[in-house]
Amino acid sequence: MKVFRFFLTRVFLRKPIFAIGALILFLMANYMAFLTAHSVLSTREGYQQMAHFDKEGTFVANLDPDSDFGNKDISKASIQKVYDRLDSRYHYALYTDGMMTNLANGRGVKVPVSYMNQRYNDLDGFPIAQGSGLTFDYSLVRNDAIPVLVGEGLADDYPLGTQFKMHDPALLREVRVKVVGVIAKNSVRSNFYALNSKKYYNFSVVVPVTTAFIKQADVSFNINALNDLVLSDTDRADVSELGDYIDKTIGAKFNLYSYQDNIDYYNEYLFSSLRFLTVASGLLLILIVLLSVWSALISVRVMMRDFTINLMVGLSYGRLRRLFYAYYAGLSLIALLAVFAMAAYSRHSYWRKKDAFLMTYGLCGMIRMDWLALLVASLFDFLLVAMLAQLTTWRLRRVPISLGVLQ
Amino acid sequence: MDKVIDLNLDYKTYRKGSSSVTLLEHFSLTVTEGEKVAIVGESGVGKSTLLNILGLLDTRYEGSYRLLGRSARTLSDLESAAWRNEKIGFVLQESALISSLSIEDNIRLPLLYARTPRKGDSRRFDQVVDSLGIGSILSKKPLECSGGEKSRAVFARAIIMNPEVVLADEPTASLDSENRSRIIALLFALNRDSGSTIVTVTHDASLADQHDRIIKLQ
Repeated sequence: MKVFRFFLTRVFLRKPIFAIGALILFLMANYMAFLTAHSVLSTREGYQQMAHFDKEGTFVANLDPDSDFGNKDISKASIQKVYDRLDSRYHYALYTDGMMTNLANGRGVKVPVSYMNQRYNDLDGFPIAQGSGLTFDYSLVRNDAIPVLVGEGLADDYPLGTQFKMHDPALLREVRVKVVGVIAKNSVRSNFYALNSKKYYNFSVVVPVTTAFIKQADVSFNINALNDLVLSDTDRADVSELGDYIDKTIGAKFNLYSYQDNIDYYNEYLFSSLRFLTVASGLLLILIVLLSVWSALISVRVMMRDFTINLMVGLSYGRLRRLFYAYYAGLSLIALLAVFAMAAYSRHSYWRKKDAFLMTYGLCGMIRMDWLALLVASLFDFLLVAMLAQLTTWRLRRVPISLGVLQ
Repeated sequence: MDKVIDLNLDYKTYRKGSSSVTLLEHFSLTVTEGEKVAIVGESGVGKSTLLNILGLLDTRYEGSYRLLGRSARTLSDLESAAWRNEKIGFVLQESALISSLSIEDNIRLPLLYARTPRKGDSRRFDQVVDSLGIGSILSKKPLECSGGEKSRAVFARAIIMNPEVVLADEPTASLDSENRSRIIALLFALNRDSGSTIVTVTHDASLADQHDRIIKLQ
């Protein structure tokens, strides 16, 4: 420790420009490795979620970007016709979210309400931490309490079994609901068409949707729900026929993609951009490694006499190598902590902004994916530290001590 | 008398530009305990190279070398460093100081690597500093000192660990006559008082004459 302190204060930091340069390069390397790993992990997560729909005869609806229609143009009667047709001819899984309600809670968060029907729940229901899953045997006519799920963040205010009233943004009226389950912490859904885009359900209420619910719901709910509609046990001809029917009935052009269509889309757009990102990051990382090596070798050359005089009076090469390891490991740790701080700040900012869909649980809101990406960055650090420590020691070994002393 | 140095070199080669230079072919040297040996010769014959081999600074040679009864080839990296720290003192030119350290820190540098903190290190430091008359420059950086002062600092660092062997490479080069006499007196006082074996590489004939033996390299 005494020798390391001496080297740190009298040798390594004697020329701060090298230490600062190395630190900046470590920062860049850590950030790039973190970002790339995060992106890959996030995409992989989204891809795995999409795989729930990897079934023959399954199609996912998506509003055609060229379709221009406003909600006001569509009447409840016409959109209901679409749902009546769906009910009579198709098996469909319905899920929509993004509608908000004011529900008192300890965090003061405006609460998003998500809706799913039974088929969607069977296909891709939320993992449950407490209680049962969603049930659909309630009657709006009888004014039954609607059995809902709540996110972990609402479980203290609305524990399992609690009944409470809330304004339902789909029915546009106050309803009585009952908590039948608590969604597992940090449950996440990826956007079908942007796998990196996530929503977390720690502060959501999930409402079960029945045919009666759809009938009573506001037209905006009905339209939103069509956006990510999933049809199962069907074929392209029937799907095409439905698309035409929707277009004719409400004037909205929906595309219905099979799982294979989506995979093709990912391969064409998402994965190629991901591949580009990975290759670009890889090249940038290689450049950073080369710059780090160059900078380390230059610093050794500039401080050659300092090192060799120490070698002459009793420093061993083995100990010198350990000193380099400790020095570079210290720099990489600072860089890793900086990246950790950035990630933690970013996650924590959602709590400060009370962004219900992005508030996550963990140290400063950091989730497993963040830690895994940090782990990847630290593994990269480990390799870089080992490379630099070995290279600098190797360089010093190549110079006879007697010559280095006089340089 | 015990052999302190027992060297039998086949040859030593090093690269100079694109060509290879061979030195010290079939060269043998034996130095006994407490002996003072001067190495003289023309520039480029391998005097400093020889000193580097003797001081375990250069291990790339063909032949055998026993220092203090132990084959240098069998010394590990750690042992070799420890021997350079405890058993060998290097008196080099004045420029062999770390410019960012004070004179005191330069002199104390070998103490940093001492395997165990030794009793009397502070007393030894004071003794060395007093004997060399450099008490007033301890807080100065090498660049703030004269050539003579720096040479004495280098000498102080070489003897701070009370080494068994002192290897001096042109210790009086670029010194004025007063400092030259002082360094020579100190070198021989060390031999006389501590029994250290001295090997000196020099161009200075009068300095060489004061040694027990002169070896001329050709």
